[in-house]
Amino acid sequence: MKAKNRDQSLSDSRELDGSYDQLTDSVEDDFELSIVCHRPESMDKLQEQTKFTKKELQVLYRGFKNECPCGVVNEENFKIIYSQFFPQGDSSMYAHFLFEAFDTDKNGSIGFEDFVFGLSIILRGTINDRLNWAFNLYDLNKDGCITKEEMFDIMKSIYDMMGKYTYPTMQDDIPREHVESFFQKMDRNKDGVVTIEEFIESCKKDESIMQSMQLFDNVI
Amino acid sequence: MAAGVATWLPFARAAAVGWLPLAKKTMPKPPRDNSSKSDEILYVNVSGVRFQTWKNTLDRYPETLLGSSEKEFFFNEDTQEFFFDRDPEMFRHILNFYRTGKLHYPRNECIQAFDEELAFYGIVPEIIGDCCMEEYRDRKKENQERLAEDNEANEGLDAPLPPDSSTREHLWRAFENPHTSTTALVFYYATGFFIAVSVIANVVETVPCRPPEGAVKDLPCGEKYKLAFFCMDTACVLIFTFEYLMRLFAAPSRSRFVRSVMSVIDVVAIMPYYIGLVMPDNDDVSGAFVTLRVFRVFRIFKFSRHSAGLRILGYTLKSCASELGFLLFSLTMAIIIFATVMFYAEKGTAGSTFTSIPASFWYTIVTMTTLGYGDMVPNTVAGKIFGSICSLSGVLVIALPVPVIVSNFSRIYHQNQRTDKIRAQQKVRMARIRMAKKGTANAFLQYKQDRALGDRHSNSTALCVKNRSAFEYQHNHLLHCLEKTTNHEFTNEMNYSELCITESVDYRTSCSTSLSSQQGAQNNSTGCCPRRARRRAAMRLANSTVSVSRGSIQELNTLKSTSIMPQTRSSLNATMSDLKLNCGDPDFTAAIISIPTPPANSPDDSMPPSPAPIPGILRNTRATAYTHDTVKISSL
Repeated sequence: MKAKNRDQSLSDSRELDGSYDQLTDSVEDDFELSIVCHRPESMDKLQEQTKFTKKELQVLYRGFKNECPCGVVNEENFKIIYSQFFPQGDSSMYAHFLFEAFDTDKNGSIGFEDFVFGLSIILRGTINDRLNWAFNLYDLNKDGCITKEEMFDIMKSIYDMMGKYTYPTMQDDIPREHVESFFQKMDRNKDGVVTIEEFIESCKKDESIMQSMQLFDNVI
Repeated sequence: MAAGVATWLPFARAAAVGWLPLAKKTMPKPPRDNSSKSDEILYVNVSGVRFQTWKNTLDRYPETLLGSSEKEFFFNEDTQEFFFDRDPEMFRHILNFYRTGKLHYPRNECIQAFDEELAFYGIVPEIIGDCCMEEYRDRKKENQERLAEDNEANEGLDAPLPPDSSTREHLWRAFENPHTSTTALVFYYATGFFIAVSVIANVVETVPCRPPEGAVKDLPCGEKYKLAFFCMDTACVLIFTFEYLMRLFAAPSRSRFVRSVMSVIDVVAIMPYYIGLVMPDNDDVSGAFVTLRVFRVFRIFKFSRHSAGLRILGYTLKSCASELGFLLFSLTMAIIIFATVMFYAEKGTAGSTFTSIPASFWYTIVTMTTLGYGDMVPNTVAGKIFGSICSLSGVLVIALPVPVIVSNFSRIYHQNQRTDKIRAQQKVRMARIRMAKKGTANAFLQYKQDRALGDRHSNSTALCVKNRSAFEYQHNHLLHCLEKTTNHEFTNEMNYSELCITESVDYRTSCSTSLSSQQGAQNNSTGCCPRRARRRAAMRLANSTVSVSRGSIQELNTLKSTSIMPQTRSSLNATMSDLKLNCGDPDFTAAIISIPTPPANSPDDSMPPSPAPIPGILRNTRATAYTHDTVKISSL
């Protein structure tokens, strides 16, 4: 799976690099995050790797740099920013999951490349890409399948964003019910987990989901 | 939402991909984004300084001027930029707000100017960032206090009352402001004198005088010259009573007056006398009465009406009440502690003066305040040790709150000084503004005269037809229209003083002679009109005219609310509502008025109403036309 490859490549690169110093590594990381500004790769490279035009990249970077002058966003700030959009509820859990999904190199911060790659997949990618990305978001431990507990966590975090004041009033068992119905729809072979193939197949069959994909028009 | 958060909105929308597969219902259609996709650079020209920014930056705050369509009003088609005729220095801060989302307050700018800029650009001052908010608030409060002080100073405590006020109001004003009339001043000094006399008498009557013949013991003077002192006391008390009753009568709010500090002091000062009168000449009761006499010394506090410094002191003490209270409390604590310790330390010794804890209080107080009378002295070693600790700590405890009180006093004192300074400056300022008005009034009259002359001699114009700007012509024409509308005409001071204003409170004056008709016209100087009527009429005239130019409205309002009718006759020109230039200086901004230098006008002030209007007026206006030194003053 993609996730496994990532981890593997990460550890490989570390060993090959030889610069991995167990004692001082973590300290250096913190040091870097706090002081050193992170610079993204050149625009040309980004343009090759993503599906954005030059102008779009410029607009994105300007906004990003304005918000995070040092070029990276750590999880705290990310949660704060995301919560501004959902003032009624508690979006911290979902923001955490999002952060995990965007932070592809798992260094605890989202740089501009992560930001742009993620956006490129979601906004300019094919339906398969998007569904892949969504699956990646749900798969919390990145083991290639979604269990009911993982799904429940995700569902709860989404419902938390709604807050207390909803109509009709939120019952406690609604997330659980929702998870059940999700699994009923997605889990073809009823083995209690949803794999990526099941997920993509079921989503493609679902009319409303396909129709909702238009949500990503005009975002940038 | 913060500015930058808008940047993350696309991200948040993209993150919604996580909800898609879980959604129970179909997602709604996204909004159509009609605006141009590409971001463009906008040019903003503020008084010649060109700023450039992305359109998106300005769009972050759609409720402000720059973020909304309101800026279209300022768009200049020829140069394809937005032009604002405002302060470019301030604009820098405004633009930074759009860029960073934080509004900063520049410390070197005037708070009012900054507020005005914010108001213009539609930005609420509440969003000033935390870094600058405190400074902004402090400055704003200080400014408001200052303005309030100004207004109070302006309120014309010295200005004469409207003529139809009752005796009561006159009386009250005479009491509160002795400078307004001579009688009040006389009364003020008289009371002061009698307060002093009374206090001195109280003091002197206890001094031992030479005993009368036959006696050996020294008598206090009060006993020897009992009658004399009694008469003096009676006289003083009578005067104080009279004053108190007058004040009570004149007070606008009697209950408030009765509760005020000064009135309480007054009552306390005179009560002992009356109580003494009604008291029977009984020995035991008169013993109590003698103590009452102590209250006579409160008469000295009556001086606070006469002295501002005393009032300041009293006010300081009042405002430092909390510090004083703390001082008292901490002292009390320390006293009790040390007194107890000293008492038990000295308990054993024979002949010790520390007979009880309350007796030790005295020792503690005397020691802590570093007085050290020596009437009570510790003898034991422990007592001496604790005694020294006591005196050391006394110094500290007393020294701590004192600087606070001192700084309060200094602040209040300076504030008071400033008020006086402002008042003095205000007079000068008003005088200069009046001169400006006079100048402009004369300019208008000059215009009319020229027109009249022009009517008669079609080809040539009189001596001082200068190059008037189109603005002046139009303005003058406008004033002329107003004259025709109201069927009244503008005049200047000299004319006015010669005009006869028929003495009636109720109907408008008709200052109907105009310069043009006065070429060879007769002079209506039919005697002196009472000053009051003139002022009244002039005020009505002022009310009927309309101010035209931008700055003049402000000035007129200020003048109206301030001493529009001070004592001097030159104030009559405050009736002129138009602020115009004198001929010769076409630059005009609302903030700067050019006025001619005084020399031409000053003779007006001192000149009595002379029966030679025509040459005088001509001289006057001509002279004003020729002087070129201008004095720039701001229109408030």
